[in-house]
Amino acid sequence: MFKEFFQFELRTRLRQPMVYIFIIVNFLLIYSASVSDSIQVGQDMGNVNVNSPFALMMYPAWMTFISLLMVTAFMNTSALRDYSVKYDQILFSTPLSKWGYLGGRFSGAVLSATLPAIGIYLGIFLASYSGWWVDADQVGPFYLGA
Amino acid sequence: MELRISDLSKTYANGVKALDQVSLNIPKGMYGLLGPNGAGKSTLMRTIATLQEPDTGSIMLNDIDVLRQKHELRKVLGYLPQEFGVYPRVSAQDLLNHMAVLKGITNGRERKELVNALLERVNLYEQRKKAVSSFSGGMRQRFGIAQALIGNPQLIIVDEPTAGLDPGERNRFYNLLAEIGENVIVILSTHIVEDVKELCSNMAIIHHGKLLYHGTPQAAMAALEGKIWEKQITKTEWESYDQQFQLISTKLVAGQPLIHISSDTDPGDGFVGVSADLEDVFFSQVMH
Repeated sequence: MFKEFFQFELRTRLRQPMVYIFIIVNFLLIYSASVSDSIQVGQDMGNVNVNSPFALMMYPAWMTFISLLMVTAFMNTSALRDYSVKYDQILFSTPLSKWGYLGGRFSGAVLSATLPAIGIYLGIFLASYSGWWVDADQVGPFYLGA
Repeated sequence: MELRISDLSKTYANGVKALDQVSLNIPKGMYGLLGPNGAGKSTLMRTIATLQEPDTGSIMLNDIDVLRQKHELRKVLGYLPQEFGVYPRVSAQDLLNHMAVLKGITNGRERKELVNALLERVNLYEQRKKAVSSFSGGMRQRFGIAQALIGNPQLIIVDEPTAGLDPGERNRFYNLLAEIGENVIVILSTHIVEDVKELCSNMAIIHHGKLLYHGTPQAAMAALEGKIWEKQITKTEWESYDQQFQLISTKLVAGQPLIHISSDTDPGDGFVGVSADLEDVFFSQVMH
């Protein structure tokens, strides 16, 4: 039951544009902040390497403020979906288990709400290969572990 | 197999008495619940479907106490609500599969076969990959009945299923229901008298939350036999007839009112005796 709701939630999410839009928004923000000196997310990174551990830590940290709004959008629609599309009567007349339903739905929504963060790392990753904008001496070696 | 409803009452917070001491025994087969809009049909059906609580009374399906053993009842229940929507962008096949898991069919292969068989049965197999939210009214209703049939339910509740369907779709839908209704309890609520006459072996009439009649449609019609009189009048005469007689219905035929009255004796005055149909039963019950 848990698994079914979890998977159904994820499938539903991946079929809707919201996840992808948020990934693109995050990507554009962080990519442009990384490659340009005139765009800044959070603090001025100065001469710190584009893909430095510091950037890898600070950008996601600053982005949590914006992501909070995104998470709200995810959890909101997940919680209210059955009622807003009027599927509640059919759903609640089945022998579903309360925790399977609530837990599966919640976990699925949490996982999909974290997916937009991919955009942040993608932004940093691609910025470190954008040699036409970024000085080579501002890019450190790529360590997956960092 | 029998559904026993006893002394069911429900008063809403705004003072509306939706159910007033309703007692009914519903046997196997198609059971018609007839009543005008707002009569309490949906309240009764939602209560049987464990979606809301009555104030007093009890409901038993064989030895399942519906109000206490909700989980047990839901295992043998198929419910098609009056109005429902579906998740956007989910195909008929996926949504049925999802419902089948919820109804406890955990074996993957068994579930796939069941879903395909149901889609065949309601004639949606060709459209199985399309989103249910893009379906027409009739197709969506057929999806609704497929969903209600998952897991061999013993009790099927369909609440005004033909609202908004064209006559062809309505017929197809009823053929499907009639097939199902041979072996299980099917409760069908409607405000369309014809539906009950065509389909149901037993029926009840509800109005203002009260049970006015229950029994077979034939018996109800037989009780009024020889008491229904019909006359074609003009619009200007209508008011005086309304005061003089107990009008049970007024229909317009070619723009002029055709009235039906009930009277034990021949009222004369140009009235012609007609055989009672279910509509007369319905109106004479509801009007008094």
